[in-house]
Order: sequence, then C-alpha cells, then structure tokens
Amino acid sequence: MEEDRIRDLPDSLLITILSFLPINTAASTSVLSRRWQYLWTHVNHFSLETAFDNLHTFITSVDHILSKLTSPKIYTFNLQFFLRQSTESSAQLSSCFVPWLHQICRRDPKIINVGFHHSHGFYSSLLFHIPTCVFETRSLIELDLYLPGYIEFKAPTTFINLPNLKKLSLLVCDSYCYLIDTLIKSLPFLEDLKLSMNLTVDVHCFAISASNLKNLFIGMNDWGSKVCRFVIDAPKLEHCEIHGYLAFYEFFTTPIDLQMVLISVEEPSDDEKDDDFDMDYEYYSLILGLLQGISCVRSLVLISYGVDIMSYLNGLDGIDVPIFSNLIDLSLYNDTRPYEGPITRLLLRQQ
Amino acid sequence: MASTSTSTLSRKLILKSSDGEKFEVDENVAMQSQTIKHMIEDLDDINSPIPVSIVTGTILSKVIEYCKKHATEDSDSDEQLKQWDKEYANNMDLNTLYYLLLAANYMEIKGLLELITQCVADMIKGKSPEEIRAHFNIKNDFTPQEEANIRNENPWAFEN
Repeated sequence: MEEDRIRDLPDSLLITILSFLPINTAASTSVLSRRWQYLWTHVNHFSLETAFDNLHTFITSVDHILSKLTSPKIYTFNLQFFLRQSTESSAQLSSCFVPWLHQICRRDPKIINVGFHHSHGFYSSLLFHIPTCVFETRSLIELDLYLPGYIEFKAPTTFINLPNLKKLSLLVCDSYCYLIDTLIKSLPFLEDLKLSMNLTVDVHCFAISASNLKNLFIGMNDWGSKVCRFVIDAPKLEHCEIHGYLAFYEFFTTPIDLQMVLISVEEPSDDEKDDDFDMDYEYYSLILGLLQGISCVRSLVLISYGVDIMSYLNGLDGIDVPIFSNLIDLSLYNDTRPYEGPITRLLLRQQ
Repeated sequence: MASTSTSTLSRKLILKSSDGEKFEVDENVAMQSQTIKHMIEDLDDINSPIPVSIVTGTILSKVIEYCKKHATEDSDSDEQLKQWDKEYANNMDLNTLYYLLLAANYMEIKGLLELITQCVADMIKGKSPEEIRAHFNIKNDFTPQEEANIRNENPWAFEN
C-alpha cells in the first residue's frame, strides 16, 4: 500500500495549510510531532471565534497566542469572543486591545474584524479602548469593530489614513460618534458600510458622504432621546438595508442604480418614548424621507414589527409619497406574515 | 512559417511533463500559471515544448483540467464554478492532493493552490491530534511527558 505523502510537504506549504485554519486548531497541531511543534507560529492569519469562561482567560489566551506568532505579516485578525460569565470591569480589561492592535497594525493587516458577543446588559458599563493606529493602517481593506469602545483622539482629521479601505462596519458608540462623518469622508474607495447604532447621547446627525458606496446597512437598536438624522450622499448605492427604529433620512442625490432595499421597522417601547413625541404621526412620517431617497429602487421589501406603516401610507393624500417608477418586486410583511391589506396606489402604480 | 489571418486566435503551447508526456494547450489556459507565463516571456520559440520539470504527466493532466475550466469562466456562474472546484478536489486521494499541492506551488497557480490548501485544511478541522496523526500517517516522536507539557502550555488550543 502506498503511504500518505501529505506529511512530506515542505514546511512552507504546511504553514500555508495551517493559515487556513482557526488559530486554536492550528496551534493544536503542535503536539503532532517535533516537526509540527512550531509550524503554527509562522501562520499569517489569526482567526479565533470561541467562548471563554471570562474576560481574564480571554485576555491571557490572546496575549499568549500573539506572543507566539513570529510571522512579520498578519493579513487577517479575526477575533470573535463570547464570555460564559461576567467579570468586574477594570482598566486592564478595557485596555486589552491596545497592545494587540498595535502589534497587528505593524504587520500590514488587510482585515481586522473584532466582535464582542454577550447577552444584553451583561457588561453594560464596559468600554474597550480602541487605539488610533487602527485608523492609520494603510494596508487595511476591511475593518469591522463590533464592540463597545472609545477612541482617544486629538483632532480627528490628523490621524485617519485608510486609503485602501473598502468595507467598514462599526458599532457606533457615544464616545466616537462625532468621528463618523470625517471617517467616512476620508475613505475614497469605500463600497460597504454597516453602522450599528448604539447611542444614548443627544447629538444624532450623521453625514454619509461616499462616492463609491454600493452597500449600506443601518441598524438602530436604541431609541435615543432624540431622533437620529442621516444625510446620505451615495450616488452609486445598489443595496440598502435599514433595520430597527426609524430615523430621519435625507438623500442628497437619488441613487439611480439602486437594486434592492429592505426596510424593517420597529416601534420604540413605551418606556423609550418621548412624552411630547406623537408616535402615531411623527414617528411614521420619518419614513417619507427614506422613501423619497430610494424611489429608483427595483426591489423593495418592507417589514413592520408592531407598527402599521401601510395604514399610515394609505392615509396620505399621495403628494408625499414618491412614485416608484422602476419597481419590479414589492414584498410587504406585518411581523412575520405577508401583509394582505390595501396597498398605497403609489407603490402599486407601476407594477 | 507564414503568418495567417487567424493570428488573433489563442496560440497553442506544448507542455512537457517530468516523465516526457506532452500536452498541447491554449495559451490562455497555460498562462494561469505564473511560472509558465514568465517562461514564455523568456522564450524565443514558443513552438518548442515547455518543460514542467517536477510535475508528472498524470498530475499535469489534472492541473490542465483545472486551468481549462477556469480559463473559460464566462460559461459558468461563480456558484457553478465553486461546485465544480469542490467536486474536482473531492475526487482526489491524499497522494494526488500532495502532488497537486506541489505542482500548484511550483507552477504558481493561485486558485488551484488555495483550493487544495483549503481542502487539506478541512481534513484537519474538527479532528483531535490523534485523529490527525492517523489521517496523515504522522509518527508521534514526543515522550508522553513532552506532549503533556505542550498541551499545558497552550490549554486554549485543546479545549472545545
């Protein structure tokens, strides 16, 4: 019988194979034999998606892995962590990303993807310090930061240097929401933008100005004390998804190549509502600016959870709702069921 | 040789394997190999066979099969091409994968190298060190104490 030969591959190819594996799997090959003991430390991708008992074991483990990696290039830094138990928040915990990201950013990363996954309210006071080096890394193509964080910066325009970034995804927190406009404006090749809003402060106006943007996702999970306002200038937009609570949308230009829009609307719960905010009228009317901006869309999906957007639209006299002259597909859902009531004739007209 | 009006059509190249087998392929098929691309640039006479010195005929035919499929991408969608790649890799035994890896690496065919590397990585995924040793026929030359020490040093790597 012929022997398996994979084990006879040169080290360089074995390291390439290990680079395709999650870092913990790659590291587990260190016990195979003497030859394999240090092979994994030469990989140039770091990917770890796992649950840890608590923040402390998480930090010591990542510290340990990074101290072992010898490759001068780390193209991917993907760290998705889950925690089984709560730990007291401390300065050491909140600054753990600073040395890690400094190390990674020196090694020409193309992708940085960090996500902190925990049940709601688990670490409500915890904020991770995000070092500014992340925003000065010229090699970056994809940046995804899904963790509550803060950035310490002096003047925002002086440090942003991401000329190659195509994809940006952020959990937008109070501490750096002021940076968003400048950040987006500083990314000449941005094609994908995902903003998950996690705000409590009052300043809620965002200018999304991106001349090459193709995909836009905005998720509003919290109803702040004021309505959020988005001014969007993205003439090449093709796909757009709006989730959660409505905001005020204003499109600087109408994107004419818009293929698909999904709007999934929720109503703020009673304790989130503002006393002098007329939910029945003012909240629903927020959708009009959005509909104006997307009126060239081919395919529209509108889902409403606990709100009656269709009745609101049907009740309008027709002047405020734009004509969707390119519309080919229209899907309407009320909660999870297809909507079967009357449909405003303006959405129907061209079908 | 007189040139004809069909000179805009893809030129033919002859690739010669390490065991002397010759394959006639379209230039755009062969050019997916960066190594061959560079060799052609340095070649005066493209009609003479191009030696692919470390690759046998059996393996070279499989490499060409991959390059042909990926040279005519307009007929298939990305999805179909991925499905084809998957079936192509799944039909190889371990030894063929080994030689294909060496060939893709030597010939610098990025797509093929990634495909086979991913395929071998998938074989490692989800296996215990004992199972990996058995699958790839790797001899454990650690003493039990040494192995225990390595496991203790990287505990995060061994818990699932």
